[in-house]
Amino acid sequence: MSGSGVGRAEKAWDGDGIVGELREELLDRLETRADMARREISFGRTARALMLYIPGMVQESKLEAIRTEMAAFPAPEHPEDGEAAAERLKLRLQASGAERWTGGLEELLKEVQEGSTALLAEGLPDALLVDTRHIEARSLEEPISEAVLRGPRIGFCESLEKNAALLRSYGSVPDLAMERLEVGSAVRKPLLIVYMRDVVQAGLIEEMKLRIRGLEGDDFPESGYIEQMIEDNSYSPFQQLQNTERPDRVMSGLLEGRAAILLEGTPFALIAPFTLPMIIQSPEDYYERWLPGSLIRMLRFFSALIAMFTPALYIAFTSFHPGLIPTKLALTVVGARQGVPFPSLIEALIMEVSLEILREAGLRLPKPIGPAMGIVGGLIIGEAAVQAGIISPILVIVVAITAISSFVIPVYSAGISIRMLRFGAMFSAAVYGLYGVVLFFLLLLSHLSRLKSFGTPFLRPLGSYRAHDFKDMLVRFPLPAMLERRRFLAADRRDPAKPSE
Amino acid sequence: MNADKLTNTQISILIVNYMLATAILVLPRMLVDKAGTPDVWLSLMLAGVISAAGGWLASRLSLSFPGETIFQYGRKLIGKGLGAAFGTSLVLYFLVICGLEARSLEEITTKYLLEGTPSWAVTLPFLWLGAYLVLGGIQAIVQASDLIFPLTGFILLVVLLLSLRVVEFSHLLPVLGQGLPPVLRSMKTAAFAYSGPELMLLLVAYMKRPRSAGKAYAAAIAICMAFYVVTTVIVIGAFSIDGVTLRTWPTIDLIRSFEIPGLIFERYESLILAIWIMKFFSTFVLALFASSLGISQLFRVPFRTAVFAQLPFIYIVQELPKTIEDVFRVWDYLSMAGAALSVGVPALLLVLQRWKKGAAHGRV
Repeated sequence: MSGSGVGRAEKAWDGDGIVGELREELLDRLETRADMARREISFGRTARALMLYIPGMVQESKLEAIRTEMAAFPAPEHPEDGEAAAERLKLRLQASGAERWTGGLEELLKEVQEGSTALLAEGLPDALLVDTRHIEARSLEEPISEAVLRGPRIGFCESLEKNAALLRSYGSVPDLAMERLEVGSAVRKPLLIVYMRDVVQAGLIEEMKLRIRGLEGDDFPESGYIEQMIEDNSYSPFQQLQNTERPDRVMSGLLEGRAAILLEGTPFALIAPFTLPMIIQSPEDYYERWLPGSLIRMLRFFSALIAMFTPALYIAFTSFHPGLIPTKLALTVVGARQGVPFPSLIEALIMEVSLEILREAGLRLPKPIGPAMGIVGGLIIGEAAVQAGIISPILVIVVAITAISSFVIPVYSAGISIRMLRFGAMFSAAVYGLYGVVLFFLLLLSHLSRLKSFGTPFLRPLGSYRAHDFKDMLVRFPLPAMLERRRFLAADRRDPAKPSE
Repeated sequence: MNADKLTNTQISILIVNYMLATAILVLPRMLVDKAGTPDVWLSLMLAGVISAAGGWLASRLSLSFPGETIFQYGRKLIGKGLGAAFGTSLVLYFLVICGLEARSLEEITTKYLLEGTPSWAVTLPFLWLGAYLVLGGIQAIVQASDLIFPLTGFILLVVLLLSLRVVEFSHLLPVLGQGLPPVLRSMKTAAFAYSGPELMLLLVAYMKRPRSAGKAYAAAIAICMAFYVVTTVIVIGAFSIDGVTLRTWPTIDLIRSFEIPGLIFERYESLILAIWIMKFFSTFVLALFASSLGISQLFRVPFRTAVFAQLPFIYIVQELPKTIEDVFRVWDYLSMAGAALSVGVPALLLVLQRWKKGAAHGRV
């Protein structure tokens, strides 16, 4: 890595001179840092300098600038001139990003590992750190997991700097605040808490910082780690922070009084507090006119209900209350089930589980094989199962509706919660019929009523009884009517009776 | 317990949810049984007004001890022994309500939804669910009520509107054919529908603006009264007073009596009952919360323990009445006790408290 292959008038450092008393120690430390380039350049008449940096993390043009400046830099004549010369050198390199002088080896190595270049020159007492950081990041692309038909096509990437810049360049937002924290003990990673200074819910940032500072762990490779370790209730089937790749989604969250967490190395930002209505919200609802926006949102709501309860209702009606459905339909359903050797719970479980298997398989397969999977799974298994008389055709319809409905949920991880809970609903329907479905709904309701995300009740705006909070729930009101609503979480902060959590 | 305070609307919804559950299903029959005339809607209105007055009294009383429930300020007002005795009877009252609510649920479920299922199998999950929600504190109950109220209210409204077709208003005539006595006779039963003032003895402590507690309560009463009166009028209009007395659950039979062709489902009553279970749930949960709060504050036990310790007793209470008629009889007594606990005693206490205050002022 170091040394060869560079056709310049510089050579790999052979370990002599230049660094004085640091020499032994530096050589020792460099032994296990093979990726660190050590280049010797000459300046003044005979003096030499050593550049330490990590190729690939630095900007070549800045290195070039350092070389040029150094070539023109006169070496100090006497050792006593060192201080003054150092000052001059720093001034010269200011434009190239010269930061500070350091005498500490630890600091030097740490900075170099983060992309700085260290410059050790003969005759100068300390090492100059030059900020040359430049990390190759994926270019900004359309977010895969949250595609919209209408709306900005840009998504976050893996670089924290770029993501922060993306939010800044969203528009001129003087109110936007970012605070930097670090997480991880073995791998230190920077993280940004982003919020709107005047709008953010009272006490939220303090609570968030408290939880993040308390994090223990070697490495946080993805924001999912942080999400799982700072959420209020780990045993809940629901996520309590929203993850998103979309800057516009983050921004609208911030304007509602929420805060976002950006982590280095992942395109997924976290938004907290998360409230249940967010499950059916998509940025598109706002970009389209309010009528289609609202209708589509209601459609999602009913899809969520369908995805969660249809198989359970199928079980309840077929095995407990066939009398509840109209006689003709009942006859059809029962007739279709004739010859099916399983009770309806087993029948539904077989189909639902194989559906989940199909979905998982489709996810793992390389793209060109994916559609083939659909054909094998959907057509052959579904059709064959019915013809073989194991499954009733009505159930195939039910399962298909369920599956398609669960794809409608715009927040992918919330869709998973619904898919899991569906099985719970099926079991309670198998035990108690319709009563079981109601019990399951009440259990869900009780859980959601108890659940909080960063101190905010999960079912908000339910339970707040402020009319304008409801303008963005099931029906997305026309934008002019929503102006007041935008900051609904912030409203808590003007409410003196509400203590900060 | 949660430090968050409740707003007026939240209190109103809680109270409506608490009152409007079992009563609406059986009220027409119970009232007509007592009165024998179709004028019972009048007694409903009068009872509502009385209940509102009771709520106002209870709120006034609680207002003198900001942030404290009856279980805490009771001993300050009437001494340790008496205060504890009154608190305990209130706890017992709520506990019996829990039991009866669970029993009504069981009766309806085994009759219309799950025939032949053993009662414990129906009740136990319900009790556990209630305990689970109550452990979340009053805020969680408010959140849940907020979803249950509009859902059930809307369904009830639709049912009432649909059943207008089968109503014959001549069944309601003559108005006051036998004068006021039957109306007054059935007032006692009507009080059963408005058991709620006792809640104000402890809910005011959680209010953001306790001064307007009386207003919040009155609003709740108004909503309930509207539902009760309309339902009773429609049920009597549909079945006539003779028909009503023959039916255990006249309101449910009303739903059964009409069909809407062209809709997916033919028989609604089971579906609507399934949804009405949520209503039972909200009454149950609030009563359980009240009794648990009482136990934990009177006897200084953790709230959690109080909730779980009660479950077996609630189960025993719900098993005690042999038939559904027994349940209604207990309920009758209970509404008397409720009226005494929630109107009589607070009135006495209020007078006592005024007098004490006056005496204290006199000395200073």
